[in-house]
Amino acid sequence: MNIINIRGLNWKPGTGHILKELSTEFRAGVFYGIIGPNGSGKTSLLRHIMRILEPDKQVLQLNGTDIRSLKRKTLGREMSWVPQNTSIDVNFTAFEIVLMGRAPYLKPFQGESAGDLNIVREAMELTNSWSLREKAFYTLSGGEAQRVITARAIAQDTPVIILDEPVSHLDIRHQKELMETMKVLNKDRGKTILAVLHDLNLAAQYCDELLLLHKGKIFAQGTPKKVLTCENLSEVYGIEFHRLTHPTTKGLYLIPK
Amino acid sequence: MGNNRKMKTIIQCSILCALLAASIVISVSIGSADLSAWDSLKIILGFSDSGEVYNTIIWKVRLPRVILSGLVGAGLALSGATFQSLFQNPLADPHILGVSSGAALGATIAMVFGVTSVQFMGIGLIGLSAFAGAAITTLLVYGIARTGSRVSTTHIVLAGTAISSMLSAVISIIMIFNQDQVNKIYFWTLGSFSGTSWVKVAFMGAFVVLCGTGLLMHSRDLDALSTGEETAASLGVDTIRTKKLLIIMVSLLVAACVSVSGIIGFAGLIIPHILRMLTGSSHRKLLPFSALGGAIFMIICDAGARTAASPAELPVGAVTALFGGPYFIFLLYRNKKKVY
Repeated sequence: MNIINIRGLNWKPGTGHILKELSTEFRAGVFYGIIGPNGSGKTSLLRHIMRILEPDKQVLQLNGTDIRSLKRKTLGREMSWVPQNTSIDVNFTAFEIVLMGRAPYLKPFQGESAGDLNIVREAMELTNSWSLREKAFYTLSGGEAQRVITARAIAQDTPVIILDEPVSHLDIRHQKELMETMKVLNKDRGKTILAVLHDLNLAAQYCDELLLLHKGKIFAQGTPKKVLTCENLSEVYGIEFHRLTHPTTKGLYLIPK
Repeated sequence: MGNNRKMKTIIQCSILCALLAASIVISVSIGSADLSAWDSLKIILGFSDSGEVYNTIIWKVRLPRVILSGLVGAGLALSGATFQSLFQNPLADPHILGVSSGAALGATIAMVFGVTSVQFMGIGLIGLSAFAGAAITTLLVYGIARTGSRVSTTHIVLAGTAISSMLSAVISIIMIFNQDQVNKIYFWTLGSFSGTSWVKVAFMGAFVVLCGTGLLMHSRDLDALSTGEETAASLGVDTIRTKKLLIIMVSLLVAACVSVSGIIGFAGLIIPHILRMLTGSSHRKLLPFSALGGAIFMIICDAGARTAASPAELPVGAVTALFGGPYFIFLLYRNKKKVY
């Protein structure tokens, strides 16, 4: 079943034309990777799906309903977001940050229940950040902050999790840990994952399906094997690639020539 | 862990409430007519034997003034705390949207036209005119910063600052052409709680209670907004609507504060920062604690303003800055961490 349908999404801020008649669909329970060069429209696409940018009427449907007719609070129960920039200057503890993930389920003046607190604890344990709970968020390292923000998205307990270049600031170990966590959420809990990624090998290794964006359009969509061809990549990125088979995993392995 | 946290909050809250009660009683007792704190407390609680004169001094003169200063302090601190989070700007204060300059212009016009003796429901026309000026300015700033239904926080702060400077210029020009009123206008803008009545207390109290409850209702939204607008949207906050509501509520609250007391700076800026250092940024604590802290701070400052150079009265705005500034710098120095 399609969880998100996009038909003819356009976005022209100022003079540029960032997204051009972009159409695609996302099926529930699939781990999607969105790849493409800088300025190809990856982040703009995510922002429209999150409705941070407003799409035109009837262009973007979530579970068959026009996203514009949904309330913010409803969207907060459908999609969670791990932003590119995790820095927060305000004096919250890591625990308080993760607790914010429960906000879409709570009314004004309603306190968090024991159930909410349990969900928060579980999310923090899953991302290995429970030990950071009492620390002030702004004192955390980049990797720690990323884990806490990821825990917030998990605590939000939404069918769809959207990640905007989640690993670009992380060292190689934290990159792997984050991708493994997402894989677990995808396989064990059936979450649909949409992740913008720059690392093609990471995308090939973890994603079920890739969307290759080029000049505001979907250039190719499908399994990593189908999308990550030398022709596609040289056309989109403007450089040549070696496409190898990884010696141990037998997966794809790409290096620029 | 949860219980520990709760306990700490209850203790902090009780301390602030006790401090508030103490500051009310003590500042009611000081002044030119000599009264002990104990006698004042007895008069306030209604079983005194000090005589009619003292009763009148406390109930008609000092108590309304002390309560009004507390309410204004609470209102300014609530406004500052909300604006700092909403605009994600540690320098935001209640006057940032030009509301206060609008109020000052309203008051100035009323003074220049000499309608100072007219009263409406116990509130002077200067106050009403100030309130109207504040309201009109808010609408103006909001209208300038708006594009469609969205309001960019950067635009609104810039528009507020620009309008504020323009209105101040207009006030200066009016002052030049009405030299006989310069003193009066100048002192009004510095802020004062003299000439307080219970009507003003009721007026201000209504705004603090209504707007305070409204802001507290949005405390979770404010938490999310203070970590970034896009994050807030992803957490289910209708950012467009929420920002609009919060700006309206805070503007009303600031307009009320300014119309009863003139422009009192600093309290709205530093009180929320001090309480953030003590309690963290979670608004369901920060807002009520800021209100209590602002009330205590303003009551003490006003007590200082009316007694330090007695029988002359210092402008309370000067006292808040003189008294609060060094303490804030001390905290900043000691904490040496991001306070916002």
